[in-house]
Amino acid sequence: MFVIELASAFGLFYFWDKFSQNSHKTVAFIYAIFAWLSLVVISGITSFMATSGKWIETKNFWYGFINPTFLPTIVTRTGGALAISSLYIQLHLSFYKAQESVKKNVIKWTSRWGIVGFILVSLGGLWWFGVVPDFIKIKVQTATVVIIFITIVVFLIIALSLTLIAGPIRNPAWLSPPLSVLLLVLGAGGMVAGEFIREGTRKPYVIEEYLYSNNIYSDRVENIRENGYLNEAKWVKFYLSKIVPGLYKEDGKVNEDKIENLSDSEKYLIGESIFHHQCGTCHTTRGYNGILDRLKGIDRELLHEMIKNLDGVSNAMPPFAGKDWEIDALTEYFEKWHTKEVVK
Amino acid sequence: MTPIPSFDPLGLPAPAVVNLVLKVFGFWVHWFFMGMWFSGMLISLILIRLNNETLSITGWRILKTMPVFIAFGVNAGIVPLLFIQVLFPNFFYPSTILQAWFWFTILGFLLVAYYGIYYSIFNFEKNKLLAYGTGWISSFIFLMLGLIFSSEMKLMVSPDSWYKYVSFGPGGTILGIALAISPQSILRYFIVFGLSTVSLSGYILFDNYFIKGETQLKEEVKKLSLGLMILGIIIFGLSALKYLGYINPYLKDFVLWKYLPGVLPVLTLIMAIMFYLKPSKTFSLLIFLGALISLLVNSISRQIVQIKELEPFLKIKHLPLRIQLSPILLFLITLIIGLFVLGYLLKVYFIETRRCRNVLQGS
Repeated sequence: MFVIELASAFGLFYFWDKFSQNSHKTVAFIYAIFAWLSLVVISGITSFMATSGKWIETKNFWYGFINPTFLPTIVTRTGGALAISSLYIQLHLSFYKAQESVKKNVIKWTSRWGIVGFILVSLGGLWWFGVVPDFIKIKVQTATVVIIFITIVVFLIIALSLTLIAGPIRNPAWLSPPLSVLLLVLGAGGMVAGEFIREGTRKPYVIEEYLYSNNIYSDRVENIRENGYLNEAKWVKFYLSKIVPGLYKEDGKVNEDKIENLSDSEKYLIGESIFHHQCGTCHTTRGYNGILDRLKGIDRELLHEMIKNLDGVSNAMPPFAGKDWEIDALTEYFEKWHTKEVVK
Repeated sequence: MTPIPSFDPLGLPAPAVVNLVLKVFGFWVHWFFMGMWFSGMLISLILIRLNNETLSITGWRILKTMPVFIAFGVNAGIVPLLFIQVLFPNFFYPSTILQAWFWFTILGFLLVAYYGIYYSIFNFEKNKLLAYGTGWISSFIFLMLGLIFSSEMKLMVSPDSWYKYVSFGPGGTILGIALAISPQSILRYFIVFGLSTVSLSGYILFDNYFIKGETQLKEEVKKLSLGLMILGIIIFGLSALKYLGYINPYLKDFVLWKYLPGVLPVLTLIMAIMFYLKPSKTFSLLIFLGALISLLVNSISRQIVQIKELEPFLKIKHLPLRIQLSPILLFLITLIIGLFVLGYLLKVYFIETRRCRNVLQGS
């Protein structure tokens, strides 16, 4: 598909002055059809990640690809593509010197397609909300960040639609370069907000009911809790065996005697490693989505309980996969982070 | 103790060998296009500045085709990356995280280099100096990106060394600033560069003798092509001989794939010398094919080495399978339809070009 998109795009670019009218139309349609088909493929992949549907039981490709939000996603993305391309064409037209009547007609025509796009985005969004699982529905209604982004998208759809009706459709002459740049930037902003909604509502999963956002399989959590994260996570095991001498016995299992006698700095290093592998996919300590400021005022005992029941504390968080002493190491890391120079 | 986590119990969608064949095929197609810009940008810019009209025209003709080569090369490059992610995710993904910032920069640099070439082509008549300078910047970026890829492929097969590259930023993130530039990665870089120059040489002959059909430029193009072929073989040969020292143990059971990657480029060079003495249209096609087959054989050999390098951590035949035929069938049907549409598009372009030529000749 990508190759055909490229071949037709280059054809239109390099043969623009050579094509007959028929060839122009044919190649442009081929380009449009294959571009839309690539949208369908991408929709199948991204929607599967949020709603795995019957794939969880069957592991059948088709159940995964044609999942509950597959069609709503196609409708929404097709609408988004129509809207943003309409706004882009207007940007182009605002700079383009052409016969005034032709220019006005094209502006009106593309603006109408833009409105169709916004309608499709709205319908697709509502359809999507109707079929997503409960944990996503709850997030849409309660998670502050998601609500903010939904508000932004709804506001932009209404504002841009009204602007297109009042401006380019009724008064095409209004369209100026600054206005068209503003409309395109707002449209692109809406797309970004939409992507944030998709990513935000999917948490705590990468693939619903199968893989958590920290790359732990959902059906492995109990096993890891029983055996310990440091026994199960091979890369962590390899890494810690290099920096905490004696932590592992010769058979590769965690040395229980050593755990009883860990120094503060060793506990800190273990906690740091657990943090990077279980929390680091979404959180930093003090940077993006920093965790330490959120833990201010929480005593160590409460923090321990919160980590132990992490998925109960927030529906965007996966369960903590590990033993009690590993939670201790993690809380040690959080507590000592400010004075980490003592352990380096 | 192995640092590699267990493999996804979900299993591969098709037998490992199918994935490997598609990976190698994708890399081979990518390598041809990538080679054209990797070595071709540099060489075309040098040719344009030479005080020789024929070589200048040839350099200019190569430069003008760069946007097409880059677009197809970048797209073809997705194929091996996707299959590497399917086959070796536990190696590929963590190693890209370790050199994340360099990996991210590829996107930005590629955009700059791509637009740079367009700028260079469309502004050569208006502002030669600026256009030429932009072309050089693009070429430099492409040469640098090759190093990042070479480093990544080396890091991927060395999981034992990953812990040395782990470093954390003050905010608690993994810094991702590893760059595994080693003698091996540098040698592989030059192997790729050398063979890319060989395929560029083959392409120049094919373009001038098979496609274009003009006569006045041919004598000097013939010399240029042979010169490039010799240069490419020297760079490839010296690097490959040294590199063989590293990979010898991996290829001890694959004698054919140890020597064939070196023999084929030399055979192509012999054909180029024979062509120089007695040129013909068919021979130009054969040399181009020889260069392409050299790339393919080297891609296969490289794949064998990669599997062997990973063998202490992964036996590829032990990868779990969950074969589902219907998606494979869909893939093949889509591929066939796609090839038909592609053929149709090329037919339209050919007919339209011929129609225009006839109109121009008629007027």
